[in-house]
Amino acid sequence: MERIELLAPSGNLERLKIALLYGADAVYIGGQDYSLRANAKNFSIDDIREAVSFAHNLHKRVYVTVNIVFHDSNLAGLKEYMLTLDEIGVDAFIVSDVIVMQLMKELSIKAELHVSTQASSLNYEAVNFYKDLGATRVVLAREAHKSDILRIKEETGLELECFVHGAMCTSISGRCVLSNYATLRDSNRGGCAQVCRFVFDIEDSNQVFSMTPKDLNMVSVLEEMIKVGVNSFKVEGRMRSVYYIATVIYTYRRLIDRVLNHNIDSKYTDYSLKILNRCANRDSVEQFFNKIPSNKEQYFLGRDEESNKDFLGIVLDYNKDNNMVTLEQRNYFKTGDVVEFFGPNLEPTSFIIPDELYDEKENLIDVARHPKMIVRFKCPITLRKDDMMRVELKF
Amino acid sequence: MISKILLVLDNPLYLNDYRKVGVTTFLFPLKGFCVGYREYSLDEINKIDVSNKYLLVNRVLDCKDIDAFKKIIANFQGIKGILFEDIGVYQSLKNVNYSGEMILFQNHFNCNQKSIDFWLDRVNSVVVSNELTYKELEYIASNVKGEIVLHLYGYNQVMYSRRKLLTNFYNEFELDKHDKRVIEDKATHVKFRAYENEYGTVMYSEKIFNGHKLLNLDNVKYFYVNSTLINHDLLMSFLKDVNRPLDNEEDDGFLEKETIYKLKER
Repeated sequence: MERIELLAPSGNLERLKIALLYGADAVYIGGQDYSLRANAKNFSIDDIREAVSFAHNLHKRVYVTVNIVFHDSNLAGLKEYMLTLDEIGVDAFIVSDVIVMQLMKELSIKAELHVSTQASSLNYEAVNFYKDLGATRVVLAREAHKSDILRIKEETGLELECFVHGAMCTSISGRCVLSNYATLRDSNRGGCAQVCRFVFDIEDSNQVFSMTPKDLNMVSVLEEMIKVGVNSFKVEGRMRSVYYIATVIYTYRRLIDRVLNHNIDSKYTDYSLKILNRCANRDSVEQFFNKIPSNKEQYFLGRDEESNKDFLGIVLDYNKDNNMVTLEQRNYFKTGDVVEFFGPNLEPTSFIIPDELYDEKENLIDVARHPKMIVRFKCPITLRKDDMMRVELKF
Repeated sequence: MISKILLVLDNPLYLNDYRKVGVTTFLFPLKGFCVGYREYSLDEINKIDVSNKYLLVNRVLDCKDIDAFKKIIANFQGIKGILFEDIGVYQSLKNVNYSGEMILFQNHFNCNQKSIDFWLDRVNSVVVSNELTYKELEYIASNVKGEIVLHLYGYNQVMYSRRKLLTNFYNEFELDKHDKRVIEDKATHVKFRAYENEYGTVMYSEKIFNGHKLLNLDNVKYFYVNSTLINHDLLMSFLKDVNRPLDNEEDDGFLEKETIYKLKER
């Protein structure tokens, strides 16, 4: 069996480190130009250098998106940027525009060429075209059916990357400029205003027209995805929070490992699905893997949203001598609350917030109500920096 | 100029009207391989008496589709060339040394001269994106190494989904189905024209793009005219006098409107 990779999104250095610590094998990031999340904070060159160093020290990989559709004015500085990324040692460029593919060859870039999902590759002939251009991997269109994935793998032998989790475009990726027309923001250069999530009137009906898809969730078909030849499981969400990244990556890491070790069962899968749906605050379903999605895979009137106040805090420090944890608060909690800790090396472990709860100035408090306030309390569970505390999730 | 028009024939009944004003080159969306157009089978196309016929394949094709496409390449007799969206079509045509013209027509892509030149080393022509400004198009037209195709007139394809968005809506609310409907955003009141078939849904723009300003640009092989959804009299009035003032239903797209992508630029 080929290597299976869990690939995480990272919008900044903090999220990158969390993603890698919580189980991602690789991360994909965007620089401050040429990336399809133009309005995210993104990574400076110094950030990318630090990211690559951090990842490589863990024997993990960093891919950089250079995947806008370039206008002539965007080409200034592109060569220098690509050479700098290569000098830093990024492991791959994720690309959709052929000019970048051509430049990679001309500049003898050592990083791998991964063809972005924006190229909408859905058949083996298209993938063979990119293989001829030097691609080592293609991120297939989200519309790929399992039979397409299998056939493409058989006909091309290339590494295949598929999305497993996160938001979906209504359109085939790249084939949409709704944003340009509705807001004058160029979707294929990173300015997407998510117009497909707007609500519309429709001719000759009083009902609200919607084209919003539910999120993608491939938990129940992971084993099948491996069988048909997917090498890399990609999670969407470079603009998502650290808690979202940690929870999703943590969950998929365990699911993939269980599939590979043949000890996955429906009970664990159901539990994982509930964790993921709660974390995302939106319904998530399979989309194109087995069929063309119907109205059941879209939102129409309203959404079944659950609480998104689960994330209570992140561990900054743990003193083993006196069992004192120092935590940065992210949502309201109080003494007596039943919570759970989880972390890169910690399975979800239940805990009751003790009566002796202190703020940063060692004042005794009974409620942690302010975002990012520093809170200290004793905890017998051995914790590490970057472990997380959330409400106890019992399903 | 009129001889450079490449016209999508939405209604065969109007063929003679177009010929009378000098249009000689027509584009036929190929049945089973297109979305957002009135489609034609090869038999239908063979029966239509025009000298310059091109086929359009604008779907993103899956593996079964590409297999089906490869099987019919040999049947493309009397066809001058093929315009296509999917790179797999190019690869398939190249593999059989296809002798007709290949014209890359990827909506929203091909936005810079160097990418277009990359393709012009491989195909006969490239349809340039219609989300560019006049200055951007002028630069491209002046500097490309071969001939390009520019949008001239018609509703612009704004979005292409593999989902059947109208069917899904009507199923959800158990209403009678339609395959073409106008939708309007409740907040901005921007409208799009949804056009669905069994392969998915295309959203067309609210206004008809009128790019008569582009007629003076260099290196143009064809000017693309899409008659889909357009009132025939309005289209004829344009074809008879391409420099007439813009109708209320028309605009010049992004020719004078630059899009932004970083909010701080606004």
